[in-house]
Amino acid sequence: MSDTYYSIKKDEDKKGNEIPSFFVSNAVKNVIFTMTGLEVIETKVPDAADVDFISHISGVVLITGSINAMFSLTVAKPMAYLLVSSMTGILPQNLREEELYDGITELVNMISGETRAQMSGRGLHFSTLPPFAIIGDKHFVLHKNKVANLVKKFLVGDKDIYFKVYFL
Amino acid sequence: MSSGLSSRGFLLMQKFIEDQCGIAIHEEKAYLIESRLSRLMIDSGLTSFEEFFYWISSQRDSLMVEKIIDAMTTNETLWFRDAAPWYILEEVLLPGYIDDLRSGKKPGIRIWSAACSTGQEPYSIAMCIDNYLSRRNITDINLSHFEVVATDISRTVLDIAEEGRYDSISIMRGLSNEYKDKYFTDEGRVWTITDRIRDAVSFRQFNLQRDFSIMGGFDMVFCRYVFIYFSENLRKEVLNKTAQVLKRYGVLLVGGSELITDYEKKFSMEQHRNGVFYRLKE
Amino acid sequence: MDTKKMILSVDDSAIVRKIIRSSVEVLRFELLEASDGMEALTVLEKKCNDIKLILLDWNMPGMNGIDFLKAIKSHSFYKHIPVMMITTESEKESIIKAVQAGVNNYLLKPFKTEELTKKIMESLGKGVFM
Repeated sequence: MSDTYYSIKKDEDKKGNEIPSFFVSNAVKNVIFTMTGLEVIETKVPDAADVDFISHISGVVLITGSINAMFSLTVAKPMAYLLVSSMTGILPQNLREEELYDGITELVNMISGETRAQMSGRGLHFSTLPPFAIIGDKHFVLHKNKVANLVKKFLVGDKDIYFKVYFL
Repeated sequence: MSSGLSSRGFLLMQKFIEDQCGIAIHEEKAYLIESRLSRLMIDSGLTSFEEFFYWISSQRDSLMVEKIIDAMTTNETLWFRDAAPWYILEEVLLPGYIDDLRSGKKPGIRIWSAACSTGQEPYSIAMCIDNYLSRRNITDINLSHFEVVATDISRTVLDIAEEGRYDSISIMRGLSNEYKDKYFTDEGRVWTITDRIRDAVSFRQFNLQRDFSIMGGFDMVFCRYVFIYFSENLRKEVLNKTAQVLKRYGVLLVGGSELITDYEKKFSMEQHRNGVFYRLKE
Repeated sequence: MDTKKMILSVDDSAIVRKIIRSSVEVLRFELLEASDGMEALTVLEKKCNDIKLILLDWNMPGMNGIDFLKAIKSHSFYKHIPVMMITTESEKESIIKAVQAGVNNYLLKPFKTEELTKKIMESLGKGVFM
């Protein structure tokens, strides 16, 4: 894994002030709890590389308008099974991989929608492009040599979720 | 503030909702007014929240007030939500209730589940009591000695609750396999609660802003994750009204993360395990 | 003879359609599915007499929800079928657009299945459990 990946930026005020950090936190927690019934707790993003977290699936959505950005919701496979099983009532062993990708994609789509609703209260509007998934063990997303502008980490049960915002 | 919901429109609606519905909406939640009430506004033939405010203020339409409350609140719909109330019921209250029933001190125990939504909470109460009695082989006292009254402002959710049919998603949320197997029949992907539990709960439509005295007296009131929506005034009012309908030593349970202030005049706070409950003072 | 009771779910996410299926089955309806507007029109052609409600996403590839809604509300065979949009589009302007296009009800994502069940019942009118 390159050094660039490990230089994950924490929540900062620089470019992150276009979308208030707590809007993102609220959106992630509310969407996941509403759709899955699982409690979501925000935790501290580690200073150094999070070697225990292995990404398998990222749901990604691009937003354009008064803000141009990319949102990504990244999970390991066990978490994906937990989330999608809780959303659908289908036991994990009966879920197909395509359903995991679809479910994570749908969650990031809703998180984007929820963030947009909060932003509209401040007179800021944006559109969302169709969401998609990036799949691959230990994948990461890089934009202009930066990993992300706003990084949030959440705990569901004993498993982690990363939510990142890249301003474009 | 967005072009859709002007500052003035927000302030007017915020005040109306607080005065008429008792619900407090803070500025960071302004977007909820737009997303949840736009439909009602448009159905009324209006296009701005200022117009909507003036229209609903002039109508004195209690049905519209109920629709606004229904739209602005999201009832929690988990089975056995939070562990603490169930420990309190089983370990603190039920032993005392059983003694009172056996000694003839009380002919029956009345429990109120306020804002019951689609029925998970009142059915959880009935299942908890029934399971407690059967695990301890208590045969002289049974579920018929307990009356669970469940109310909600929305007739639609009450209809769903009365059916006692749950989809495969909501059945997963908080319900152990033990309870699921004992108290539900599986019809493919639909789960139906057993008649014994369904018959133990009576549902009725009720607005918590109304006078509580028509509800009668209760030994226990569950009013959970409802106070979080209320303005300070309505919280005090509901607390006082609850005190009036609680019988001697009656107990109030609220949501795990809800803080009740000003309870000391009428209630004492007791703790059990990691939960708290409020007991009516003499 | 049993009158068939069907609900049509139009959403490009199979997961969302599965979630919707849970609520629809509790209400004793059969669910038909389509992943976009064009596919939904094909389903409607065959089953329009049995479909009592359409649950419609907004953002879909090909024909989006609003265009589909306008198409069916201008068609004499289909315009009587109530439509509820289930979408992340929460701004007032979007809701107005949908109402002007003929939508009968509106549910925002994310949603709890109980909320979905409640809204389906509202859209169908009383007596849905009968």
